[in-house]
Amino acid sequence: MTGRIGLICAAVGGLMCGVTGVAAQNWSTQTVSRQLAGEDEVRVHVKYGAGVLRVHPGESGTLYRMELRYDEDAVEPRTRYDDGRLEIGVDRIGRGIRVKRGDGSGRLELALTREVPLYLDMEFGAARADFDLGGLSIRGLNLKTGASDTRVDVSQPNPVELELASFGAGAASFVATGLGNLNAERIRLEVKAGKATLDFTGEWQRNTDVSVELDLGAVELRFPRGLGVRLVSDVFLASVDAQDMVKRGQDYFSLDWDSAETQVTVEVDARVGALDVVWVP
Amino acid sequence: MLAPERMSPAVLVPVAGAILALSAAGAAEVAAVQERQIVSNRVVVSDSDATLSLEFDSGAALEISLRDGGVWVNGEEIGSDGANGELAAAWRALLSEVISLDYGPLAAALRAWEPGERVAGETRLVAARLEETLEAVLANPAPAAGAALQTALGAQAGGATEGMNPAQLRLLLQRSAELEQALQGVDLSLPSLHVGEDVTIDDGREVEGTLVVVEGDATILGEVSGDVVVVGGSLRISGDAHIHGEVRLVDGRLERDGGTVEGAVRTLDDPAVAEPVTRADPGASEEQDPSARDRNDEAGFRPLRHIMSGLAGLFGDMFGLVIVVALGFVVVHFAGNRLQNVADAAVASPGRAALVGLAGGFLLLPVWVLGSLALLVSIVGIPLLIVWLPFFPLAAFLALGLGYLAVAIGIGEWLARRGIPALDRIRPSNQLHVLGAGAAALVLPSAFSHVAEMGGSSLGSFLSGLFTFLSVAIALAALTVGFGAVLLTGAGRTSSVDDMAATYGSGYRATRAWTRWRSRRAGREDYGHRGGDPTREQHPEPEDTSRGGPA
Repeated sequence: MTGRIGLICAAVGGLMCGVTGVAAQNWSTQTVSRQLAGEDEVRVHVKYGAGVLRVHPGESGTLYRMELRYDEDAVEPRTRYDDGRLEIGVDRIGRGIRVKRGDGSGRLELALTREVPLYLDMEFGAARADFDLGGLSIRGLNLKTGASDTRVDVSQPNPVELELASFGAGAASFVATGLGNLNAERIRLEVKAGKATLDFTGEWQRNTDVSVELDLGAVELRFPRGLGVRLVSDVFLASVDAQDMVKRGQDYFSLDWDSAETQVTVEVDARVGALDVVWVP
Repeated sequence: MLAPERMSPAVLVPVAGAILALSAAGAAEVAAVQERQIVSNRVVVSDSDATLSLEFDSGAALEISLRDGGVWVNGEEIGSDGANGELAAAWRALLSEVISLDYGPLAAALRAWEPGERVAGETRLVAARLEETLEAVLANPAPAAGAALQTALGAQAGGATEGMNPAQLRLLLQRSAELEQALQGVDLSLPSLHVGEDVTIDDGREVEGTLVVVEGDATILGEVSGDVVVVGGSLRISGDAHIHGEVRLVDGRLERDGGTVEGAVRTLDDPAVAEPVTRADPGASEEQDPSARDRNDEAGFRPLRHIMSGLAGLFGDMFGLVIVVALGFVVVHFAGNRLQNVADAAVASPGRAALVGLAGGFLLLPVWVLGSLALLVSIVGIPLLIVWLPFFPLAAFLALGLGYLAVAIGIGEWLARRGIPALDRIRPSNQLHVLGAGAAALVLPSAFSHVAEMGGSSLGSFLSGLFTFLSVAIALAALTVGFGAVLLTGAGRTSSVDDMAATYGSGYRATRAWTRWRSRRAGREDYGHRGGDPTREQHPEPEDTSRGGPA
């Protein structure tokens, strides 16, 4: 028994002493804001590793406003704007384990202009990420998340045409709502593991092609009644529950596919998991 | 709220002047100041640093930083922040105050900064230099918002500030851009402005002209002859309230419980949602934003939706379980011994089975393709190709299924032997019992996932995702181990992995002999390294290296 206790003590001690760079966190805040200056379009690249990320529309006249809370010993903020190109993120500078001092975690809040068309390229591994893209003028959207909880809400229509909206989720939970408001020609979702929910409600303005790649997990597709949906599935060890859809040949079609004003074709490539289609009023 | 007393309508015009006075220091200088507009600002605050960076439209920049006890302006140290950090404290207080401001309001607040009386002696001189620097740089920032408001209000600004305290002015500055937009086209001949305070128009009381409320809540029970504009607050219209004009909301919320609005209800955020409002019946709520109404409806049904979705998932799990048990029943009936052999192998050597299963899984496709090619290039093989193409995948699928059932049996037997009271009816000797229990255990994480889904909250969603991940991972592991056990036992021809020589022949024997030889050699080297071991002589030499070990 004594030997076992000694072993545990040694292990704990080794863990405490062997890890280099153990230190308390030193929190800083940085607020950056920039006025619109006649930009035709803005390319936004956000790379954020940890903490809570929130992106939403900003005030009139402001190109962007960023509020960042970070551990200044571990990361260095990177905010650069030049000729219609905005880069925001943090670069890791410290090594080892950071010990939380009990005053929360890192946070990045970014407000973007509604008045200029945007190309959004966002890559993050935050613990939680909330995107309110409603009303933003989005011409390009590429969103990669390793976050455990990611929510994307397009609450208002995108006033400009979006060629490709790409979502990559390695997350335990990925929820995107109001995708009909995206005004996108193509929507692509890649789910590595976990659960993804895609809600296609909103104001549809044109036909759209959607592709979903699922490696491991579950995907729920929520369509509004009245939207014409064609489901092309290529599954390996995955179940497909195409509620209220009829099978013609290899594909599933919504009951009103032929008469629907807007048609959406969804191609699903699923390996292991489940795919559910749900209709909402 | 900041100012309890209601301002007279006539105050609105001087207010515009106050804004201009603060931000432009006089209308005469407006033309000159257009050159120095803040286009970007950055505030950094930490334990050791308090930095303000400004960038102007001319390209010029200013950075004031108080760090490590020093005061730095554009990289040049101009002094210290005091023995006790008095100046740093005052500077930090300023930054914390202006951190939410941008552009014109920011410039006005910076110019209005005073370090306070606690800063004295030499530090006072440093503070004075800071003030001078700010004054010089920000002397005439372009009053974009102020000018806009001036436009909105007409050229009536008089420059007086009577009737408003600095806090109210600051609030007005912060909201000037939205106010400007909200006041477009509004009749301001008789305005009533309230800043930073709540306003209640009681039943029986009437407001002549337009009511403007900034950073405050308005409750209308009486009558407003003009428009009602609320910026940064909620508007409540109740009872017999009567608004003859429009309602305009900026960053606000409308609560309607009766009342009449003759004009339209508009929101600045999304003019598209503005809808004409007819004379409303008391108690009606037709002015509510339709999208908000949809959201409310959705919110109302959301818990039920989650529960239904979770229940549907549970039924799916139950159905899947029934299918697995039914298939298992068939397999037990026709090939019970083989299934048991596979299960025994999976339980006896799960690690080895997993490795073999993983390797087998990776090799399935290449074997199928290469086999097809080999058959294709030979004349004799072409007829066999017709069989090979469909039957190899079918065989692989059956092997996976057999392995999964075998793992379910293994788990069921393990559970039956745990002595769990709830499972005491399960007899370890009954294959169907243990198969059912094992299959149910494999489905359990998925069931948990759907139960968590019924919770509907963020935590429920997270747990649901987590359990989904677990269920998929467990299913994958079961398939891999089961498939490996099927391969190791030659589809259940033998229960002992050690008897695999009978299945796979000399290759298997050679592998075992080589493994044994390697372990004994390692043992010898270990003893030799320690300088000899008295028991060494008792270990027999490798019995026959020619059976597979290297010469």
